Amino acid sequence: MSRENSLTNKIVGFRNKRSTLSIKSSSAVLIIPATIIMGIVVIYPIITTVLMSFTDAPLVSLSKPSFVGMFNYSNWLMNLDFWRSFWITLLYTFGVTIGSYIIGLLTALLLNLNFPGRAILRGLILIPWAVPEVAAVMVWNWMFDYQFGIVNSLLSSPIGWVLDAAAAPWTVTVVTIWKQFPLATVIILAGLQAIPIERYEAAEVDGANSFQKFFNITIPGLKSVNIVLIMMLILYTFKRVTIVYLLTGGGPARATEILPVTTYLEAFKYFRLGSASAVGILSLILTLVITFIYSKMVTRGEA
Amino acid sequence: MRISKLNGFLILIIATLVVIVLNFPIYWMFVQSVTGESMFTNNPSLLPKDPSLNSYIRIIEAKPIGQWFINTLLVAIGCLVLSMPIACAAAFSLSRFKTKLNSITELAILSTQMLSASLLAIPIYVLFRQTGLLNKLSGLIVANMAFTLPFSIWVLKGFFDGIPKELDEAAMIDGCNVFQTFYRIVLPLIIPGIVAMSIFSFILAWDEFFFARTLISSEGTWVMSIGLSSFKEEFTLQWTDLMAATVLFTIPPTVLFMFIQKHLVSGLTAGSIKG
Repeated sequence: MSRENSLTNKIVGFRNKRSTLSIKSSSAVLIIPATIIMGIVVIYPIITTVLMSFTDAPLVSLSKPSFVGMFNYSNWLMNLDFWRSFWITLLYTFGVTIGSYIIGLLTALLLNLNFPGRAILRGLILIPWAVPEVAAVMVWNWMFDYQFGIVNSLLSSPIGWVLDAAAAPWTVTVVTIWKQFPLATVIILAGLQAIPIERYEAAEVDGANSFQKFFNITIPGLKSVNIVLIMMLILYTFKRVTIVYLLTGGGPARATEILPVTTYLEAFKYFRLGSASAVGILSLILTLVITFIYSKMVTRGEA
Repeated sequence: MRISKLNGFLILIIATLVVIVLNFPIYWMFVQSVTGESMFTNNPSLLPKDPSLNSYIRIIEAKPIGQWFINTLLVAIGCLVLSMPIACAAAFSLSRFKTKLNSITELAILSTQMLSASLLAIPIYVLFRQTGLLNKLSGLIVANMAFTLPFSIWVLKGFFDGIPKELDEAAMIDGCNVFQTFYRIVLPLIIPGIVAMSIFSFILAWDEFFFARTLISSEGTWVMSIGLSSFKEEFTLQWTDLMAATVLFTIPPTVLFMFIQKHLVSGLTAGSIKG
């Protein structure tokens, strides 16, 4: 922020007031196309959703939705289905975040070591990230097939991975971790490379062993990376919908119905746009609350 | 860190095994796509039995794969062509100036990080219905920009931030206006970043499923992701055919991704670690 100001100040020093104005309007010209598009596809949608959430708008006849006040909200908040969805969303987000982080950390530590051919392996480990989500879901679905899937053929007793209400939440979590861990690998790898090598050399001179180096240099060195990465993982998982929707559709018996899936089903399966908007806004508010709590925890940890 | 040759070789073996295990689903996708009818067994073998390209030939004959491919390509390229110039200009403005308009746009960029596609799909569906953009590839391009544009702006801003502002100041003192400084001086310096983000935004649009699912219903305008998911709804599901289609769908982004992976990593980390 201060750098921008210093730039403006310096330029003011060299130019008169009129050209400062022209710098301001030029900066506006540069940003306006993006502002318009973001207005159409982000800001306008949020406002419409909020307005719709106070009506009983159905999908079929949009012409005359009537105002129902807070009805949609109170209806959801008193509905056990909502709270179950919320709980499932929390567990899913928590599980995927932890899982992606751990696999990301382990693979990053491994690929940060100095060995021949690591550049190629660093590229190959990112493949799950590059694979389209729909394709990823299809192949996992086939691997988890009850009768002919490779997973069940390796086990002695077959498991209904997407058919059994007890197993399905684990299944969607595992598939999402698989799709998402390379993001963690990449960012942790970059964080590891930012730790000055002199610290390790100094520790070696002082006779530190590998464990001491890991806990006293590597872990503290990753702190700032971790704060951003974990935030990203939480946000990206909380809003993720394609994998769960395609793998289980929220079932069986709504056991995997995360909030984004509830929103979609309510709108495009049961055709209740007003009610769908309300549950969408509620989950947005919950995202904001979680983000707020997380940032409070992080800043308290730093103080 | 110093590692002996023997240890380096051992680590190579361990790392290779880890990569193989984590990429097993990709391998399995490929193996199953070239397996004959024998895939329906209780003991699937890890190597393809009597491999053939029959399933590829079958899907190309039976399904409008070519049309899906072209539609997806149009959407991805359209999205990229529209997003990149807009994103570059906005990222430069955000990196250099602090105005009210910039803070509003920045807020919109941040808020997309929290919005799920299923929430955005509802109002965009309503808007497109009113404006006649439903069922049009052009509509899908605009909708996809809800995610490609903020992501590109965010990462490109990281690249612009990495370029010293003294350079702009010097250019301005020499008489360049803001636009000239932008496209003559600063823009050429971040071309690697632009290439990386172009490919990444192409991949995002190529991969997109939820907007396509909501906004496109007539089969003539289906994109690849909708075509693939439609296999699942058939009564006689041919898994070999489906796996062949997923392989075809996976090749372009994977190749592009390998190509840009280094640039993307540096850009993404520059953007994310700096916040």
